[in-house]
Amino acid sequence: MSDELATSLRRSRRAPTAFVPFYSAHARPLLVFFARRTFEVELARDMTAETFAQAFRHRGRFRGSTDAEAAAWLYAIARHQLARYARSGKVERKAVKRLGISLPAVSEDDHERIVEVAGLAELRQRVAAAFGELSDDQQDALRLRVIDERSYPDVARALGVSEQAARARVSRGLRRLADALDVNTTAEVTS
Amino acid sequence: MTEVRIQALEELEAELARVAGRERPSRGGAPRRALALGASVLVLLAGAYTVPPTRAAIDDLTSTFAGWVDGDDEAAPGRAVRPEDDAPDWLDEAHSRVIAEAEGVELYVSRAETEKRGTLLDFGLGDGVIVSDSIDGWRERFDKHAVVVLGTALMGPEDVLDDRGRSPLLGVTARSVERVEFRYAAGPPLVRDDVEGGFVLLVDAWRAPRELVVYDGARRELERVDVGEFDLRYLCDKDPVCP
Repeated sequence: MSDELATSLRRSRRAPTAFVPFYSAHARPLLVFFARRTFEVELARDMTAETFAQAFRHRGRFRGSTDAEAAAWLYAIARHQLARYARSGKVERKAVKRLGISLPAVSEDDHERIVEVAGLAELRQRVAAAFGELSDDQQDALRLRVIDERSYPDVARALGVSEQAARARVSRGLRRLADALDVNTTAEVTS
Repeated sequence: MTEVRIQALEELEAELARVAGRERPSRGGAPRRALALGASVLVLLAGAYTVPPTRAAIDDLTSTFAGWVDGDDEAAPGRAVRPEDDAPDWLDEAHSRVIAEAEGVELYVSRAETEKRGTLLDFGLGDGVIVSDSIDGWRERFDKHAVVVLGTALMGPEDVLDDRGRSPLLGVTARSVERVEFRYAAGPPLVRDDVEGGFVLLVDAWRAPRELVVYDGARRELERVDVGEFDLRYLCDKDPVCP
């Protein structure tokens, strides 16, 4: 294995344009990674751009020597993006702004292709099926918390249970949905 | 099977290529090692300042930041932070200034309001080191000094030295200070004549440091500081960039 991408990433520290092959190799899998987790093509585009912008800005921090390490480094940044989005509901765009990157528009054709490449239609079906297999209590808890975006005390009041019980139902329901989705990060990284 | 094209990704690639193309390449050199962040923060104690400053200098150093802290933007030190500064993420650009810079390493000062400790003044030494204290804390440190050395910074994202074996040393100065001289135990000093409120000096890590001397516009010596604590020669032991 030649580990060309890791070499390219390390070389980009002194020759910035060497970053481009690293982008080319990872752009599509990373877009798919985000699309399958957000179900939103535009969000996935934004997160992909921010992840690469941050990777470019901090490329000097990459200390690995293999392609696997380079991919792991990139996806660590990506997961950080997702975590921030989950917490704040906003996509970070700081590095994109700092670098002056214009975000490309997503055309209708692109939208369809991304939905297809990411397998979003099939994924939605699996989510719907998995949701249908949850207990009524868990479905109600997830509807209130995730879809209606109500607070846990509100969810607890609506269900007539303690806040702790409401949290447990939401947590277990989400875990079962995640199990059903079985998102395989490794496959996406290497595809 | 032909892979379907995603135009947005191609356009993003072109954008990244454009950004990469305009970025100044690194100066290169041998691989350098990272240093734990905490180890790079060194603050000189008051006892290291061996020459009493003039009365004018005493007033000056406190006043370098006093007006700005009190909300007088016309009294702000340095200049506003610009997008191309690539300022660290922690920095609130609306309440921050660049006091000095050298070869991509910048000395920032940022004003932050907190509930518990009131107004804090944070000095950013390059990208990763922050030296923070309350206004009273800084007033105490600045008192009776024309210069305060804040510490060292990283040269790059994780590099301690540049490809010539130099490390950034940063500090703040009274308004009356126009010249700083970093003197080594032997050999010619490092001199900067464009000082306005602070400095970023790229000092030779491979030479033993002796003292920092600051002057006003008439070349009158205002203060002399022992900088022996910033002996960075140990960094050269394993780093081939040092001559």
